[in-house]
Amino acid sequence: MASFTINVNNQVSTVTAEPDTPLLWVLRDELDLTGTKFGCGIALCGTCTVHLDGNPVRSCITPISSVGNKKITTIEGIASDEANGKFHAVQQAWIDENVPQCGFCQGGQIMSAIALLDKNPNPSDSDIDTAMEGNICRCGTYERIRKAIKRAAKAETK
Amino acid sequence: MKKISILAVSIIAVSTLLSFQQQPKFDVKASIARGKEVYTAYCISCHMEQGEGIEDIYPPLAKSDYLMADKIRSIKQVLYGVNGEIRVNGKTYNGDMTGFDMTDQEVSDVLNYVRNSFGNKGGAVTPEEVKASRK
Repeated sequence: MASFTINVNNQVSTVTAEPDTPLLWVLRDELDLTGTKFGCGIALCGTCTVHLDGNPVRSCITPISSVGNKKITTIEGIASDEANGKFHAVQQAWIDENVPQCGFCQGGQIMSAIALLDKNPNPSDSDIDTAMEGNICRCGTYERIRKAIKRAAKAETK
Repeated sequence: MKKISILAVSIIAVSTLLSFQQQPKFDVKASIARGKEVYTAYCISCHMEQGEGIEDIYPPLAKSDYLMADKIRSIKQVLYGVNGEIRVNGKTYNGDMTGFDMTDQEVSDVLNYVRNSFGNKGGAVTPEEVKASRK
């Protein structure tokens, strides 16, 4: 076991774990941040997506030892003031478009959507499809996801 | 009897000629174009759109010395995955990549795409080479 100091949602924590422990287990089991879900465990479904320095990564295959000083952002860390109903523009668009059905994959979908809009504030359908290809939704909410990303893009450029 | 002999000789001659005809040439350009779709479906979420990867987490494919060093190794990695330490462009990576349940053509296509994109230039990977690399 080794000790790792990590920055999650602007809070610094020290955790003890095996170096090859996936970041996902540290988030869920050590820090109790259970918004990030386990899906496939092999980086194919996108459910466990979090940001490392703003880049979307699959936390299920990211060893805690590789995180270093990179800032980790999870679904719990994106709203400016969730307690008072101030959501991130992408979260708000998700609510407005009623995107989720079962909801299990949606945390990962939102994290990928935010990363896309940070890089490309006005994505085309093709840009959205390419960026979101790695996030699978078994309820098939893809059409609403696309609409919500476009709504968020408009809201953010206003 | 003579007629039968002539017929038999003719059949043997034609089949011999046919067997010497060349196989259709492998179309690398078409393979690369198909490979982009495979890449978008399976690889892009970690290795990113321009093959740049994510520093310290997912190794780059762009201008990757490791990728271009050994195409048979790459075939086996797409088929069976990668784990343990690897060194790419002077940096050590130690993550896990799963193997993919792809056809011989899909593996060939995606490797032709990554080996000829993002600043890479490499020889063709054929479906036959993929088939020969399967366990």
